[in-house]
Amino acid sequence: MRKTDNARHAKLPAPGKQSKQSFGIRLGKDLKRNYGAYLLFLPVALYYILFAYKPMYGILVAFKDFTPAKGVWESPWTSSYGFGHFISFFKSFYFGRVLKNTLVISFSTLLVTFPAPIMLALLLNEVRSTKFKRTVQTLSYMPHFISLVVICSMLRLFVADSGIVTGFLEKLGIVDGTYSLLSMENFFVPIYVFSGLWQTVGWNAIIYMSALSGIDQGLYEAARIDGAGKLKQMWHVTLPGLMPTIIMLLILRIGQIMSIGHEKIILLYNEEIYSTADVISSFVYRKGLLEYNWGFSTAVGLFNSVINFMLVLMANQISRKTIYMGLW
Amino acid sequence: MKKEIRKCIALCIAAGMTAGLTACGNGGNTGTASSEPQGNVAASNKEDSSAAPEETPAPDTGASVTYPIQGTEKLTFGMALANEWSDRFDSWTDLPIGRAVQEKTGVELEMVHVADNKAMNLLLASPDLPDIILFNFQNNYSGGEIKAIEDGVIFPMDAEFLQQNAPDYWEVLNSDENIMKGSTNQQNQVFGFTFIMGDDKIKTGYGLTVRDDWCEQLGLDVTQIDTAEEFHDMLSRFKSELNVEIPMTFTSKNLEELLDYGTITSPFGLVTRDVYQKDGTVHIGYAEKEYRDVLAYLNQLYNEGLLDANFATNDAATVTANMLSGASGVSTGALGGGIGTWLQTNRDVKDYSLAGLHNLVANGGDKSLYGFYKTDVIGKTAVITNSCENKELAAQFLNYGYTDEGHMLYVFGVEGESYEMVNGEPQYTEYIMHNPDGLTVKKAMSEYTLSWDNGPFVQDLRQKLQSASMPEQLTAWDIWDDTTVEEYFLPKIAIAQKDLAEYSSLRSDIKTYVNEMTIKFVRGTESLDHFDEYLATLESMGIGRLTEIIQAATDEYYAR
Repeated sequence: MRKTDNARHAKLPAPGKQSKQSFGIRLGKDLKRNYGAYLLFLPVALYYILFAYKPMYGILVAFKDFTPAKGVWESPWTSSYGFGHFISFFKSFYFGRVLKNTLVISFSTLLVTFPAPIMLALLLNEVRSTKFKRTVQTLSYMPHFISLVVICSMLRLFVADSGIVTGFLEKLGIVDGTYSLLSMENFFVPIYVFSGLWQTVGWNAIIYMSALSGIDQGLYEAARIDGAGKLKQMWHVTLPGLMPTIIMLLILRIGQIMSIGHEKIILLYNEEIYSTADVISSFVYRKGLLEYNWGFSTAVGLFNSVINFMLVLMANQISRKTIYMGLW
Repeated sequence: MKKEIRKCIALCIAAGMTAGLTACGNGGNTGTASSEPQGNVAASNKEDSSAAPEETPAPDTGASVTYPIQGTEKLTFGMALANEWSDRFDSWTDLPIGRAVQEKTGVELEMVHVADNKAMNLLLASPDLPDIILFNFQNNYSGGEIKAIEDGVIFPMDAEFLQQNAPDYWEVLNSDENIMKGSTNQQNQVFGFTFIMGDDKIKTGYGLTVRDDWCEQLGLDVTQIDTAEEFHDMLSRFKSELNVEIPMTFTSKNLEELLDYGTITSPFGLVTRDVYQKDGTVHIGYAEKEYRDVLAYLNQLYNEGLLDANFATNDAATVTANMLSGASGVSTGALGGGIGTWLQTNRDVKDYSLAGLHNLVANGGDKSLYGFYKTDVIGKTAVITNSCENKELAAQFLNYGYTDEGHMLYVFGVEGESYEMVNGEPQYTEYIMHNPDGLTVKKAMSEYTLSWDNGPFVQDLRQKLQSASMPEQLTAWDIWDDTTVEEYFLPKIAIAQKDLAEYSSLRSDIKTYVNEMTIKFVRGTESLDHFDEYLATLESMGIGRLTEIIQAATDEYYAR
């Protein structure tokens, strides 16, 4: 590696001269010179070409009346110059409802499950007994390893008419305990969000824990000398130290606002509570997989991706403008 | 690697050549057999359908298939695994039925098993399909078999192809207009080897099931209970006098069945919640005013605590548990799955008996307007795919189920093992009826037959009579059968291709709404005062257009 590096430095032409040559020629020269580095890069490039870019032609399905037997190219274009599926989604009777539910569930999930692991990490960071710390950590990330199907059947039992959660709420006088909580519209979002918290809080705290261990201990010392208490230290040292990680994860999370996985939804919902539980992905699941309307579901998926992408751009822009930090 | 590729190429060439050869052979026959252009063949056969079967087997040697078929070619066969046997066997060809079918037809099968219907759809999305697929396209493929022809999945068969390669099946198709129409598309192409109900009685067999012994205890005669009031009184006496926790248990799917099969709608003047026809005019039950009264009745039962409070979140296992444990006294189900399974499971329990309850009616002793009923052609169809390289062989293989010998094999299995001839009538053996390993009748049957499920043959009433052999089941069957459903039943119509996308989108959106609102109305989370708004919403969702599309397809069916 060092050899090629040296070679490049040695033969590097003057900047002005370089720009006159075309990109192709420059690339060719560079290839010859640094073939080792390119060779190392090749598998990565191949990976992205094969698994990220090549499948993208499948997006065409969104504009077509796709039938598997005819394939992507041969299938005919839909009505309205290929935008038929998009129009029928926007005009659909359920469009407003599934969009609203998606946003409601997504934002409440973000609101509850995003800060929770940060707090857990901060608290665990202050725990002095390693034994206790490890036990709490292990217990809290255990649910992450349970399959979603099992999680959901457990949840269904917890919130059934005789379930433990229902019993608890009954004691508090919130419900009367004759019905499963899943047959009541108002309970779906809380069930979804808080079970999500239980599932993810421990696992997501790990990344913050590791970021915490990277904070310079000297800063704490200095803060202590300046007379900062535990809380002040947390506020002025720990949080700023975590900020880059938090911002990065937040921006990534915002990029998933529109996409709530259908798995957990369809494992939990039933026809009666569609009005709060049916989201874009479960709607697409029913249309696409149960009714085999591939084109329609791809169109909705594409719509989701575009919105998500725009949200990421926006979030990044805002964060760069306001706190001068961003993904790029 | 290279060797393998070479092998592949060789195989492909060989296959291509055989396909070419057989096609040529066929072409030759076309010239001699009929001078009519291809398109007219089906039409002309329809006109003199009675003459066709006599004509076909006559002089042409290619028109009758002799089994076992000579040759060593393999066919690939796509099929979803069935829970009934997949716990004991890996492949259908390991089962006695699979082995016997191969032996009798002389065709070696290579199974392509998928886990379930969803997986089958993924298989259908792949370019390389098995030669034959047994699948319920009607329920699990958007647009059914007809769309699958359009999509290029299914190879459509014309009259001539069938006369040549599946004469016995062709004869069955021509025996009844409804069978023929149920197995063809609008262009009179036959889409596959269909599962055919041999007898009208087989088409029925679903209804309410009730704890007979409890009724007796209360001095009620089950056979006399058939009005909405009597049914209500029975449930409330279960609750008040026998302290039954959940007098009637069911799932939201069961509720749909009760309404769509018209089991509880007759007293209120509603034929069914589903689509039905009256003298050729299409009606949709859930958009009719009478539906309100049905909902009001159910809501009343619900409010009185007579219905399962959690039916919306129940699953079938809960219902079964409730019925077996005595937590509930009434449920609903099919002849085999409901009353049959429950009786069999609890056969050693003392004081446990079940009986079928007549569909609810307006006046005691009436026939109910509607009831569970099947079309002549239903369920899974064995189709030849376009990937199949030897379509003639596939057709000859599938034709076997419609021969007398094949019928016996698919319905009763292997003589001496799964059935014996007693006084000239086939009788299932002890292995099937009282399995030494404790298998249920259905599970035991699944090893030797396809008649417990669907397949390419004509179903036999004797199979149903024997598998539903408990006297309670047979009585229930007769009670449930007391309907005028034939008058209202919509035949197996085919939606026009141009309307298909609109139809399925309208239907699914509206069905979702109807099911959601039905549960809400029954549970009272939505007041029935809003029923008019519900109707107005249906109107705005395009119920008018939906009716129009179905009407057009119905007209086309009767005119075809």
